Amino acid sequence: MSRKPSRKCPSNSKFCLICPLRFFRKIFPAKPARKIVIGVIGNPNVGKSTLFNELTGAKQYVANWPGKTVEKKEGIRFWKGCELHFVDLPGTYSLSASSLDELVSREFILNEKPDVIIDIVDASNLERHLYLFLELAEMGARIIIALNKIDIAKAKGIQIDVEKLSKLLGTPVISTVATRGEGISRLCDAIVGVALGTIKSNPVLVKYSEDVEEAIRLLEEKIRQKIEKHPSRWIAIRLLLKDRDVINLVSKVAPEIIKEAEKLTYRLEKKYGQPIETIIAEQKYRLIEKIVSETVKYVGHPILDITDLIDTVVLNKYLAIPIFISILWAIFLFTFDAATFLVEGIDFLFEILADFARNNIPNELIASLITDGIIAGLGSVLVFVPNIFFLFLAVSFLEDSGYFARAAFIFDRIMRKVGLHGKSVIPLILGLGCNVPAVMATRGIESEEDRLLTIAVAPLIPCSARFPVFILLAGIFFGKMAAIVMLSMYLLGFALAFLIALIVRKIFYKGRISPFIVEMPPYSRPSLKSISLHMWIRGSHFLKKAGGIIFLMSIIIWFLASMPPGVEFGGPESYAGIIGKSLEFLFKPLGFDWRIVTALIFGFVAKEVVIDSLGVLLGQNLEEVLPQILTPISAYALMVFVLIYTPCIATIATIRSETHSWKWTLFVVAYELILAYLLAFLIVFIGNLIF
Amino acid sequence: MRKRFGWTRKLQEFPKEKHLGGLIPLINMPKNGEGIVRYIWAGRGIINRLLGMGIRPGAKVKVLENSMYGVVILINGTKIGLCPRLASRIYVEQAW
Repeated sequence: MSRKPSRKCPSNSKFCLICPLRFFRKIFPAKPARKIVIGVIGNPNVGKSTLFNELTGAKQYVANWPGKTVEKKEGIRFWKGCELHFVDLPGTYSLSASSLDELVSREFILNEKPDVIIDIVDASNLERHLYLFLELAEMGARIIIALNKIDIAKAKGIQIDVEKLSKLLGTPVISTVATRGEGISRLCDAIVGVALGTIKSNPVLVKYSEDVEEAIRLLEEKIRQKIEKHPSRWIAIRLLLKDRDVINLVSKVAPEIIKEAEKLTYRLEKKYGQPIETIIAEQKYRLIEKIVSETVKYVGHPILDITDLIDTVVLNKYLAIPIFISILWAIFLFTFDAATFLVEGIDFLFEILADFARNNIPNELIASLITDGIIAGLGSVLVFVPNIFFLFLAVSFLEDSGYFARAAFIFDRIMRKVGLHGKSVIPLILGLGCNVPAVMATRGIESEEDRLLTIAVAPLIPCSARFPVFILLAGIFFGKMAAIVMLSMYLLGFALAFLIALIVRKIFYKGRISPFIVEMPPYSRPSLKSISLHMWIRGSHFLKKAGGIIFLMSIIIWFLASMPPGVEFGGPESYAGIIGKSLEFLFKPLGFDWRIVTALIFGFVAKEVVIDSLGVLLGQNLEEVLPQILTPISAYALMVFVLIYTPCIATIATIRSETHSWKWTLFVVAYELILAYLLAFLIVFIGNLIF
Repeated sequence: MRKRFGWTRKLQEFPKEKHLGGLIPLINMPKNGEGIVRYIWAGRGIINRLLGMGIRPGAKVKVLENSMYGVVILINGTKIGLCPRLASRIYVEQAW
């Protein structure tokens, strides 16, 4: 992990040139503060990101864990002369490393050895949340418990003896209400105290039944001599549990221990008649039950649960899908209609900018590079930014409210039939608006395979940028049939997405779909602060990541269209025209001439650019010119081609930044190009046979 | 890719000798039925996940919803949705 220097501008901005603080600090360097690294961990839905935001404010930077697709969030807070460096670990239920999230968290705790771990625990559901705590304790971490949602627990009639809990667990327990920012300063005090050693944190260890303890002791003795880096008791327990990564670790230094562990595990499993995981977990839960019974009191009757009421309607057999569709419709209206004025504003701004540049830059070539290349390229993508931000706002709202878990549950069965996961449904539907947020929304899918698969098929969903191409071609060539032709495009898009998912699943992942388990958190009203912060972090992440690639591609496309010097922009003598002409032979069978091929090349930037380019290349009167160079069959083939061939630059950039793999990105682009060509060819071939 | 070890347990064979009298899979539980989890038949990854979420032998469950979409259970005050396939692998002792 890269460590940032402690003396830095609190705005965390690299490009901050005018920041007075940074300037001041350059002249008078601050006393280097003691740096404390803190891992923040907790089950999903415990309010972890809210607490993290409260702890760090907007001073966060988002990246990915090295070599992983899991998002890594870090933030800084200065407290009592110390620099608290918070690292947000992915939300997990346990640390068994059976998913990527768990692996990431575990490797961080083992290898980075943070000074303090904050384990966020839901006060209204102590029993389940303490399981993670016991696993952390076995790893030898110094833990502070943040007893979150204490207000909800009180409302439910749950009383917790915090002092006694702290004594029984052996760690400081700080009650917090993250949504209102309560308890944050006490938490920071405790962090500094534990890190400096003034407050003790000796988390309680589980005492297993005698035969299990015996097995642990046997292994521990042998491990202690060979491995010193990690706590030997933890390694012994993980070996009994047949943990793949720990086995890998141990087999390098002492392969004989593994054989021994295998034998011991077998013996225990046979004796208890349960898998070893269950035996160990059961005994952990027994300790938890004991602790909970001593510290938690239930007083009064819990108030009527509104969550149950909503769920009976939302999960109803007949109502579930209609409700889902209407919520979706609302999101669409919000993202595309409510953001319209901003989109038009940005469009207008870029036009003014382009005009200004054209009129004021004397060198024609540079003026063209800036107006036709950079401004046009960036502009065509930046107009989507308001949509993207609004969409993230709506998505964050639904995510925080707890509805997404229900939607995934309802659709799991249907999606499973086509080789996808219940949680793929939301990204795919968002793709109807724009493929970029669709790819980004796949973050919610835990399984790496399911996620990559969803990313691969998401660009097949016809986004709103393809709509103008369809409507133009359908209007010119099919007259009264236009609506049916349009509908066929949408159906084809979804059908292909499902088909490709099924095929890729069969080839790469041997038909395995991870079983579906989802926690359905109680419904809650998301706070504006939390969702707007969410929106800001995700949206600006997109801008930073995709911006660079889009910029580069815009320049390349401009270069192709206007070089060699002196040619008409996108004309037959330009490189783009030459490429179009030289590729014409490939597209002859489809009935496309070089101008259409050139327009398709420009379509890489964004699909609606195909229409603009055709306008430039063919003269403005498309209604008259197009029927002369295309037959209706070829026109339909062109529509199908535009539907499928390659995601736009913004989507490609997003796929790359989300998957962290050029291989997967190229795979998506390549299969789409091939599929588009084959399908268009098939349409022309069959069409010519019939008509 | 992580290496797979030969002796890592595959999907565990359901023990035939196990006495299943009175145990029924979650998927056969009626709506609002209550019971105690007795046995989970699943692979390692899933078992770990279930255990972490509190679905473990000895835990009390209540079935809130049981429809074609899957089963929604209440365990320790947490609502959890399971796909039908997984729900048919969690065995419960029904409380009458």
